Amino acid sequence: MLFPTMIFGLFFLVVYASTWSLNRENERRKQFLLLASWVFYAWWDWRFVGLLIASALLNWFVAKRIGESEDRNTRHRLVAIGVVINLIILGFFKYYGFFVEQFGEMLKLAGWERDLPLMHVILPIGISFFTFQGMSYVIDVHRGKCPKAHSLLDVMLLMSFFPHLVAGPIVRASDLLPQFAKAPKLSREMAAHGLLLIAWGLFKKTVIASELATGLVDPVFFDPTAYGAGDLVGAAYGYAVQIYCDFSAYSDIAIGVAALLGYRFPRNFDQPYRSRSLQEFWRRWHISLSNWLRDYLYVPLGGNRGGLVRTCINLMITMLLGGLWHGAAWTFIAWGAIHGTALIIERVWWSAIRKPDWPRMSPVWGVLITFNVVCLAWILFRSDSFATAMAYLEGLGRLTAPTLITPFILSLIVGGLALHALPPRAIERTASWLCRVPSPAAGLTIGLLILLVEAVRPAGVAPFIYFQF
Amino acid sequence: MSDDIIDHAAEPPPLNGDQTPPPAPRRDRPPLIELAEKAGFAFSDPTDEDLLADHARRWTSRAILVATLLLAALNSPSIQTWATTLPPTWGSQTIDDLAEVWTSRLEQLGLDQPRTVIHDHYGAFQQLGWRDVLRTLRVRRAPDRNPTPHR
Repeated sequence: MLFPTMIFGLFFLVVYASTWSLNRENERRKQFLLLASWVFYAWWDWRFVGLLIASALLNWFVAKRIGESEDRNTRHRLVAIGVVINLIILGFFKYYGFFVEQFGEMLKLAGWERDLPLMHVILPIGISFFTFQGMSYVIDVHRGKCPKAHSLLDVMLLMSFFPHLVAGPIVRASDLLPQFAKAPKLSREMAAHGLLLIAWGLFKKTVIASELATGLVDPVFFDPTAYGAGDLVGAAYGYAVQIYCDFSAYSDIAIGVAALLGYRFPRNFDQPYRSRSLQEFWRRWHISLSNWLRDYLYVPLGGNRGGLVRTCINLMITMLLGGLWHGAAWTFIAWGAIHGTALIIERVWWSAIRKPDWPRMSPVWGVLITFNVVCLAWILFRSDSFATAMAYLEGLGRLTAPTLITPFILSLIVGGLALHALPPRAIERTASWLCRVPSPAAGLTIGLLILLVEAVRPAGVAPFIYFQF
Repeated sequence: MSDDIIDHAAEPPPLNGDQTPPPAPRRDRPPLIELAEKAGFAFSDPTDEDLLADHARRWTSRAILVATLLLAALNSPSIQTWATTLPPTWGSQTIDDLAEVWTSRLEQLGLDQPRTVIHDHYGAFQQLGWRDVLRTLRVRRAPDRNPTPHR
């Protein structure tokens, strides 16, 4: 079930009315939300609801045993078991084919060619998200950052709650479990914020991202050799706008839907293309994932505590695994490597090369350089193979007039980038105005905004890019 | 001393005999309290926080209802488009038929016009080429040099 569809709209209206009618009975409310989340997930493939339940059961059981255990070594063993089983589940569904293929290639190189048991494993939607969420719960209970959940229901709902289930944000147990402890309370500001985020998300996804995908990015990345430098550069910038509008739209709608049901999710995007460095970019892009990688990978590896060289190694490992998290392909690993290298260059520049008395670079240059490095990396991220990426990069030297960059497409790219020039927290500020108007006026405003989007959006809607991760 | 004054000032005026205080006007009493009085519920009186949350929930529900009705009236082609994409069953055929009737009735009332106007203008913008843009810019810069088509 995709967010910007009629069926989801109807589903949400039913869930909204039912959950608030159960507001005095929190346990029943949560049970209903869990059932609704399973229906939401089963709409795609009912067989994987079992996987979701099994994953939640595993994490609940391990965290429960950790919480009950007094012995430090036992707790260490339990958390290790929990993390390893989660990784095995993720590895099997997401990376089995990739690793078997690579292993086969290695054997071939060594002269021991064998028929390996290749299987076509279907990738369950959202597995990377709910597995990471489960792992963070187990680790947080072990670290004492989060108490174990009161009941299995809470853990099930934590991992299955439909707004964040298939493409995040990765909501930590410490954020959501306390909210499950009592019936949520809605405020007008929260509701107005939620409604605006939904309308804003629909606009970004169905108008900007969808049009850019069909009109520019998909045809160019399908066969880069057929286009000249103008189209290729336009498609690289277009993809930067498309992926931002696509993924941030999903996060916005997820946060908005959760807010209307009374739950608060953390922010996942904060105008990433206005970052002046790669380090800043990762504080603004997919914030829940970068925080996850920082807290459960970079810091346990040693973070920046072991000197410059050790910090650089940790950065590279984190970014390579962050790339692999996105998909089982070398292009994603190379994408992570570009980001890792850029972060290392920044780190070395700031701590070892740059002298304090050197003049500071203008922030505009910082933004331009960072944005172009990010766009260069997006070419690898979007390409289906290295060969395609190389053909794309070669084509940048082919100077021919653009054929796909129409005024409309250009206005989408410029408009998508101009979103980053909006005042920070613009939606929140608008929400604080909207919540003061009478409800019919607020309803009319939201209805007209959605009508505007509906009138200009293309028919049909492509799945969100991050569904495949 | 000042506390006494405040306390007395806050007290209601004394009642005569068995006279009971008149109930607050209906519109001043929060609905949850009214409901609790009527049904004799076991839960305690709602706090201010509960009442605020209750108000916010009703505000949100009304806003969602208004937005839904507005979209049902002005965005009926989307309902019909969605209905045609459903897999063919008795239920989906019924939805499709209902959507068709609903859309045609609203078209007769002219309620499809706002959506159609926006859609057409947007479609024209999508079809614009660079030559059209340049021509428009030239006309804006030197309007007297470009004769109107009627001449």
